[in-house]
Amino acid sequence: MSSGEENESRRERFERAAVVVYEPLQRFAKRRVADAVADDVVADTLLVLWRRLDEVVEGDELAWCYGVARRSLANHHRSAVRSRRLFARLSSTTPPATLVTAAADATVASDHDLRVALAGLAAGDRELLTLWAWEGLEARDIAVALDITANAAAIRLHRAKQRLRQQHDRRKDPRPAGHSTARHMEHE
Amino acid sequence: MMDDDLRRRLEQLDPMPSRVPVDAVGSVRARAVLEEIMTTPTNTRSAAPGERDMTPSAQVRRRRRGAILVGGAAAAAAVAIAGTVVVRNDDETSSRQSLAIADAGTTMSSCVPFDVNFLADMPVAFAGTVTEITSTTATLQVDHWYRTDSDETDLVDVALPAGNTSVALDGVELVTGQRYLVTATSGTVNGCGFSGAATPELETAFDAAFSG
Repeated sequence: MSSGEENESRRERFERAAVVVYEPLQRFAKRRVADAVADDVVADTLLVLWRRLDEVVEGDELAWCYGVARRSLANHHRSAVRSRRLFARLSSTTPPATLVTAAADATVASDHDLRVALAGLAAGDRELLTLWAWEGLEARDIAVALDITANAAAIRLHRAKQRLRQQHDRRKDPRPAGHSTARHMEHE
Repeated sequence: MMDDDLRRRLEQLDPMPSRVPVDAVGSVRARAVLEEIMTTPTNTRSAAPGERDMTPSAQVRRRRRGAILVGGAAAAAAVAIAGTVVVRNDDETSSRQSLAIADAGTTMSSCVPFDVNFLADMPVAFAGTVTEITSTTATLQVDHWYRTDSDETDLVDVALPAGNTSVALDGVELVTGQRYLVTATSGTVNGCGFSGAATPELETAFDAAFSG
């Protein structure tokens, strides 16, 4: 295949992949950061996809892109933390901005307890659960996004669900330890 | 609460459900972005999908690391302690790794002139702010990884030379709250101007070196 044909073939595959990933990637990013940053994350991710297209397994493009996007978000997050610290130093009378989770930003008024329980989880658990519920990924795709084995993804997801249920139950039934009921066991 | 019910209730909390419109892939804006991307040079690589995606491949990094180790005797102020340790908390919210500043008294002190091309060969580069200094360690909160050959951790602990009377990085005193740009090779921070306080000049050099 000539280099011109190779390039055309690459463009065709990238165009097909873009149809699959472009809109979900925007949602992924906008769920987690402001629109301006989200646009950067999407563009960064697509650029990486273009450059590394040969390494992406057919059918895994979206989950693979989520993996790239989450690392891009992590870099943006680090920059944001630095900016907040600088702002805090410049304006000592203003308390530093609080980290607000995407879930806490949700405008849905219902299910307040579940939202608070989700926001109260460790970041790793929250990421797994939102990939599962918001991005609609199953354990196999989560494994691609997080670059872990499918088995590890399934186990971590299972544990994250357990911890969310426990957090949620504690909010619904805030009795002290030792008073828990069989209701907490029904999830196992 | 069974799985299906839990998932459905979580979906209700989604701040970007499918009913909220986003740019269509066929929009003018999307086409402009995609066309621009497709004009950029590709970089055929064979790294695993989960590796650092904004940085050169592991293969390239390994080649570069080999090159800098050859030149390292003349380049870096010191290379004494090797080995990067990565420690993760259970909840993975505060990952960290360790580097070291070599003892200048026990190592060669000659330097090559600062050069962006040489900087671009560094296998580890990041920007971070010193959050804590003890007699043995300076801890930096990383705000940007330019490149790494391990995990992009949130914190980097820099082990200080034993018996050091001043806490300095390449002659520049480490100060809590001050931001620095740091490169490292084989677990040891590089001196000779390849690490230092985050001045606009050094930041420009880092941006140029690691933008590819």
